[in-house]
Amino acid sequence: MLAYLVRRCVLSVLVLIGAGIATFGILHLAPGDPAQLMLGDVGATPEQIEALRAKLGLDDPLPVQLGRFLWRSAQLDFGNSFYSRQPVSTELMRQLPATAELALTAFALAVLAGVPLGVIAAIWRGRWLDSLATGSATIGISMPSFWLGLLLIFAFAIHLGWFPVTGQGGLDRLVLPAVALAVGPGALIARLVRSSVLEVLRKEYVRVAHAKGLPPARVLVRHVLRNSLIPVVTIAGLQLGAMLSGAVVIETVFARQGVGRLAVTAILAKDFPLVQGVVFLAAVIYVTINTVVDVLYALLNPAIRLR
Amino acid sequence: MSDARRNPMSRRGFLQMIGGAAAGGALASTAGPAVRRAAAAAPADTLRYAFASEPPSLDPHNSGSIWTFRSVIPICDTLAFQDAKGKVGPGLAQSWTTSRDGRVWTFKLRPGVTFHDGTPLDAAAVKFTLDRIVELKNAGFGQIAEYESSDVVDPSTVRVTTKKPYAPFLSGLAHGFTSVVSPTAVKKAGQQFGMSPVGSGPFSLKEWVRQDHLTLARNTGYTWAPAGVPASAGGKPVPIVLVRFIPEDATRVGALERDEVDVVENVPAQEVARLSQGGKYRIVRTPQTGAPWHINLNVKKAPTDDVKVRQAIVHAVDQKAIVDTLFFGIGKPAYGPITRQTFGYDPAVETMYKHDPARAKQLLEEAGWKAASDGSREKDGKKLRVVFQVIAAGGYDGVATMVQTQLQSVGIQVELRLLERARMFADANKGEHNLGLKFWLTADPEFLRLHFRSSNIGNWNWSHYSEPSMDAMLDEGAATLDTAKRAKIYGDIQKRIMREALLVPLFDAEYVSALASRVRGVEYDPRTAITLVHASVGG
Repeated sequence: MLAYLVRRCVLSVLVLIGAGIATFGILHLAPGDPAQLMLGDVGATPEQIEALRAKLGLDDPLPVQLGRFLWRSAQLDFGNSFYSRQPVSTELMRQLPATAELALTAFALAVLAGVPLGVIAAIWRGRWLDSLATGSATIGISMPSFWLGLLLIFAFAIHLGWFPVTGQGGLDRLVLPAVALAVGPGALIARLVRSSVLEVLRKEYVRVAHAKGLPPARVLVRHVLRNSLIPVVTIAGLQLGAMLSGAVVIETVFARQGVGRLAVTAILAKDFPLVQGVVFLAAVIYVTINTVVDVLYALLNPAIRLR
Repeated sequence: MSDARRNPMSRRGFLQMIGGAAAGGALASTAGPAVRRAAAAAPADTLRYAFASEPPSLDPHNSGSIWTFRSVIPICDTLAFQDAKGKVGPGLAQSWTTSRDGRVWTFKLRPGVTFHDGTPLDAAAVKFTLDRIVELKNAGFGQIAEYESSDVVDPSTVRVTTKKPYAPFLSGLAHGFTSVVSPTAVKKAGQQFGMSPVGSGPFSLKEWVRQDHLTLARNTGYTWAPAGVPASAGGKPVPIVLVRFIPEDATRVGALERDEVDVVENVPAQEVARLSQGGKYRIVRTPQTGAPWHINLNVKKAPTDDVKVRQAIVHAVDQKAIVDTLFFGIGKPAYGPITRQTFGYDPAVETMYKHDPARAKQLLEEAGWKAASDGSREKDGKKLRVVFQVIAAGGYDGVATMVQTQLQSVGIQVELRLLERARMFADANKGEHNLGLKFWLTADPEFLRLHFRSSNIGNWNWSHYSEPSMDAMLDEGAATLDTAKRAKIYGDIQKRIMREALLVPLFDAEYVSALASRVRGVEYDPRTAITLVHASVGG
């Protein structure tokens, strides 16, 4: 187990370096000049643009820039945002709590709604409850979150006046964005749980358990759920990663703080250091969650050995 | 299953584990101090203002963002002040004189003004500011590009020299990007000045929570206002202004209707009629100075290298249809390279072209592009086809699609390239387009130099136009201080640009704000600067 974890850590570092180089490459190869964008709203002369490029270090040869970027990243220094001139790490850490609050709440909602829904649909397969659950899951998966967000604002904030439209702080401001963010992943989890439970229900050990005369509820919890939830953990983990590394659209629609909104602004403005910082953060989150999920696998099902 | 029993972890229900951990995390973080409290729960006498975007920095000299421009105006003062009509008058400088050759300006400063940090706003601070703008070479530099040096004559007198006579100099000194800042604060804050600007304006920055809001607190030491600001309409001046950033149009308007904010900017055109009804909100439509929305025609790339093709394109576009259909009548059809509000606007351009598809077809025939049976046009076996580059956001795409249809109806095939902003700039600078869509917000027609002078090819000269005689006219326009002469020069430039069809004017944009009816004293100028000195709510 320990050897496994050590190897995972080494691999993770390689993944992070790869992500860094890929981001650097994409940012610098894509057309568009950050200096002109920075001077853009009012216009600038070529001399002004050149002067700014020099100041930002953008006139050095690309390999030099890449080397500098990697060396600094190794020391967790991502430099300053081109625009705000604040350290990238400060910018990220300021936005992370709001994203974590939203993502974890939405994740809890998604799991708390998705798992029971999937189980119900599987147990009453082919009945109206199943149709209802499966039907709503399909709608949930296909509904774009920004549209759902706007719909929730119109219905529950503007029309009914139950919740505020924008901002953060306090549970009332968290409800609408969390629901809007939870619906998609929740629906996905429900469908996955349903098919997974259905598969396990057909297994012989379940039939044996029933034959032993165990109460149905006990069979369900101890034999069916325990085994069918394993694949769900993977998907749920990935969903959490996606939500944590940026609930991009929802943060924008609800005018909340967050890493996702920061990422969009940074990408559109070609704020290289900030984009690199956001990608690094996202990569760390994904790598960590993946490792945790893999370790959870082994803990949940000893039949799986980590090597 | 026996194996599983040995594992302590698996004794817990999975559901309980996953759900419980996540819910616990969420609650913990909700209660955590790191998450800022809601900005919306503000006292009743606070003015709550919603911007569509956040300023990237509040350093007036180190940003090119329109949101920086709008945000720093309440915090910092400028030497001159531009009023709602676009007229430039006294600001921090009470009066000034110009030398006979037009190069030396002597400014007499308003006495007794101090910065928010208590240090005096004197001639040394003005010199420091102007030198800093030139050193940083950011957008503010463009406003005073011909600046050479300044001298402190005495604490209340500063003498500024420009490299050449420079007509837009005063207008540049009335721009938020040339605001006077506290030298002491700049030296103290260093790189962080953009997060904690110190000026002398009616409000000081109290708090900035990134991606959420700015809090501005009234500067009680501020006892004056530029003569160009209309007198207070009464009511108690607001002590606090809260500026929130709400990017999504529907949410921003929703926040106004739900009384979470008092003023919203950039009201979408389709919402204007609805919000105007019922008397709950006041809609302010501010026509802008600078360039209308327009399409630059690239004179270096076939087929728009042929003036007849360019003229045909201008005739084929129906400006009024665009304003009425896409913008519900917000804005005015444009016929020249600068808007009606801009200094030197020459109405003569209005009669040079009109929407006339028949004339467009005739010009294309004369240029040798013969109609084919499928509605397209050909010359020497080649189809008449243009590349139209557009930023795929901000309403540009809708306008472009409509223009595409209008051009196709006279036989011009249009390859529409919807690009991300950075890519659009890069490609337009290289000249990979025939048509490129943009607009320009500024005070003075001097910006035409940026758009049509040969030295700016590869930068903002998207027409890729290079004529020494035009360069000379543009330079003369910038250097002529006599307003009547200057207006005539810009009149000639406008007519020449249209005669050669270097661009297709589309419409003069309007900056639309919606204010709750209890809000008073908020003023807008044609550069979309916001004046809040006399702002009040309620009563």
